[in-house]
Amino acid sequence: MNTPPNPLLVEGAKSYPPALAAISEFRRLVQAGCRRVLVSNLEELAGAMSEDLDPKLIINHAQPDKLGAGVDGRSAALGVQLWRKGQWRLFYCLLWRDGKLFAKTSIFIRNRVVAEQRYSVLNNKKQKSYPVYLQNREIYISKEVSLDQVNDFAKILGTLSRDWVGLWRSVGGLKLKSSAPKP
Amino acid sequence: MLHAAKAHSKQCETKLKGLLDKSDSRLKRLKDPLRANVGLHRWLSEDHEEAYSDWLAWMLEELNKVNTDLLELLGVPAPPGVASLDVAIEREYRITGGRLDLLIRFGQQALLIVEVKVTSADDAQVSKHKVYCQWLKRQEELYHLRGLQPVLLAVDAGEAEYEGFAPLLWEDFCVRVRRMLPKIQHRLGIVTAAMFVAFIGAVEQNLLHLVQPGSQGIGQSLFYARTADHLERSLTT
Repeated sequence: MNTPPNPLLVEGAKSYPPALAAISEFRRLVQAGCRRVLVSNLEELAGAMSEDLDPKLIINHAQPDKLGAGVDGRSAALGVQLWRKGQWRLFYCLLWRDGKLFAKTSIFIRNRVVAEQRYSVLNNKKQKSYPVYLQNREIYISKEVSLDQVNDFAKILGTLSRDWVGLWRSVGGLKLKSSAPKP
Repeated sequence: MLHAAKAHSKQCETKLKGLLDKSDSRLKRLKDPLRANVGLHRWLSEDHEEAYSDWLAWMLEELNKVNTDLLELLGVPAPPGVASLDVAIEREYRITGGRLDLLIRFGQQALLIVEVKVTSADDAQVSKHKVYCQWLKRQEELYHLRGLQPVLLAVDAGEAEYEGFAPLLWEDFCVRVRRMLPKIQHRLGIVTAAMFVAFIGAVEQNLLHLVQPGSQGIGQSLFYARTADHLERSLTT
């Protein structure tokens, strides 16, 4: 008896390498857009956060990065990151979550207590365009991007970035040294 | 997504042709590195990591002859005065616990380790980096040499550090060398410049998978946009 044809196997056999190339190109497009936004806002952001932010240290970010168990079919993130070893990681990215697409700026702070402190200070600011969230030591603001806005995602991320810069300026920067809990 | 990627790439093909022509005319008697068909050259095929290290060492030696700032080329922060010192490059330098792909000495003052990978930094074996960093620290203590930020040259990188080594992407390295090609041609002659072109061509075709217009295969023809962006970067200072 013949095995019934498996359409995924047939199509995959034809187009798996080009499909990977298409995904790779999509990632590159998004990451390049996010990089441009971060680079163009870096000086201002560095001033607002009172941190040295070196454009040479910006690297790509993809979550999940590899095909495998990390792929859940619902959530993903693509963008760029800049990090200070052992302290924090700053992200500018597009985020897919629960069937929606968002532009997101965030900072992951390694020290949970500091992350909660900084979130609390940022969240208490009255004048802000976007709500501030804290999830697993990551403080972020985000804005939904509809499919008809996606060509302008970098512009939306740029707008978000201006608010992000404003938030950090309004609280006097990251102040990790002064606010780190004593061991 | 595949259908859209094909359409997007097709749109970029004309732009890529224009950029290649612009690059050709900038190089005068030479042609753009992507014009050379080195994709099937066994010497610099994807799995000959040592050949890439040999070529890189040779290139750095040649660039040093015309007072190129190697630290800037390799993206290493330079302490005052170090960049202008005499440079000596050693391949496969043996230390206890391993061999360094490239060891670059800056006079009697500073040392730089460069590890060369033809894969992503995320896939590279970096467990020996700790040993290399410890060795570097010992040199600092014993000989008062300054250990410069070690470099991991790789195809891509998802982290900002790999056991003490800072990633440098081949893509960025190639863009920097491409920008220098007219100067190399002028100062080192057309034969040496042609060898640089061949090496850059091999890296770009075999490691970065950049392509020329008219490339065969759907997968490869999807990379016109990526290739055009790379050329555009190299043609703007």
